[in-house]
Amino acid sequence: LRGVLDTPSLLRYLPKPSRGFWRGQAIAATGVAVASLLRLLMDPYVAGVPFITYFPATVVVSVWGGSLAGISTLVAGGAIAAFFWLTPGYTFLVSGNSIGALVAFFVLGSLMIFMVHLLHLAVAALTVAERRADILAREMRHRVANVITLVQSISRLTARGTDTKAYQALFEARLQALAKAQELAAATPDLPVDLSQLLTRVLEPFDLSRFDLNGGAASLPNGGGLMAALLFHELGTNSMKYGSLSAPDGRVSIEWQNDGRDIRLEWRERGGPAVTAPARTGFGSRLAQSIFPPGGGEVSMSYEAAGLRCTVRFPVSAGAAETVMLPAFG
Amino acid sequence: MTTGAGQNGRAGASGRLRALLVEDEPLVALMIEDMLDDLGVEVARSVTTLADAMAAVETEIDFALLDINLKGERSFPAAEALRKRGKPFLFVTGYGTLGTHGTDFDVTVLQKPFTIADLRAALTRIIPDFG
Repeated sequence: LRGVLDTPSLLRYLPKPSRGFWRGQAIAATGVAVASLLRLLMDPYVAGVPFITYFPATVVVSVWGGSLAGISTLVAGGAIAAFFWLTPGYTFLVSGNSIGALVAFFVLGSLMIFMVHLLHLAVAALTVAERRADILAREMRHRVANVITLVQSISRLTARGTDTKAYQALFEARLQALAKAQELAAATPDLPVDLSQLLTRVLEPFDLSRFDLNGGAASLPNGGGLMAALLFHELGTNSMKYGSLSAPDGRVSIEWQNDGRDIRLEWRERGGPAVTAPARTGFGSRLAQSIFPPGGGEVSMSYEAAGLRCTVRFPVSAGAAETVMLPAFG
Repeated sequence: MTTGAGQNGRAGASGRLRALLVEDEPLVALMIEDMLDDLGVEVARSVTTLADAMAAVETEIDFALLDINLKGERSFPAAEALRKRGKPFLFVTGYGTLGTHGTDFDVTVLQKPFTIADLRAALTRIIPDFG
């Protein structure tokens, strides 16, 4: 029984107070009439309990008709009880020792109305919280579906042109980069992702001591962080394989400026072998080409004798920001 | 350029069906392009915004795949335009059928994530002589 009574769902059985002042007053009038009738019927059997039926009437009316109806019941019930049943009876001029009973009735009745009012507020708050949780759960399902689709995309695109063994390492490393970006985004769901934090996390596997990061405060819209993380991860992977990080003394410098409209970032490799443009369009190139819609930012690669130079322009102005409650794509 | 691509007709010099893909997530767009390529479909246009989709609807395409939620915008106006042009289309969404709830579209919805077999089945539904 305890479990049943503790269940918050029990609160759902609490009727919502009826809307409208006059409806509440009608409920109050009915309550007072029923209480008076009962009190009249039990009069031969009781003595010294003038208000006995008006207490439950006040509670029931407050639950069904709201606090104002409860107050009406309290006042009308108190008046009727005082007139008919308080000594000396059939007059509002109650005797001295009955005044205490009358005052106690009003104080206790007011307390009851107040408690029922609090209960109504609690139920209303609970209903709102439940609805919110519902919306959040739906949004989460949507986000999970999107992330799974993203993982599927990475898998399919990684499988293009790689054998099974290479696929596994590549896929897992990309998944790692995605997970890190996801973790950063989840830490502050409503805030944009800090660029230098993102770079630090994503480039960690490539040995941060070989990178020179330099730039002011810049943050990417929450949804944009994932793509940026994957892009930087690809640049890191390629550098380890073919670029400056493949040489013992090679370094990568990353500099960025934020002018409020765009973040311009330059990835410059030095101290590695001379690089040439890849003959094949791999995952990284496809990502770089499609990461931004036309006009929404750009990635450009320049294969120079000194090393790769990649410039990225992230839009941070209007249009880049997510408009949905939680960052979502799809 | 081939003109007068019929309702379900096969346009394009290559004889392949030409698709319009509207998807705002770049990697997912790449995957769907890849899948369509495997299914022998040519991706004539791949766009990420509603405005670009509205323009692309008027080009030489045979059918369209529409992501419902485009960075907070809904792709329904593009679907309406496709219907007016008599071009078949299907919705691709993370919301499942829930995504079209509250609209009068009664069309095929492909829920993400989906397999290439799901995509083939969905295309067969909107293009009877597909495959």
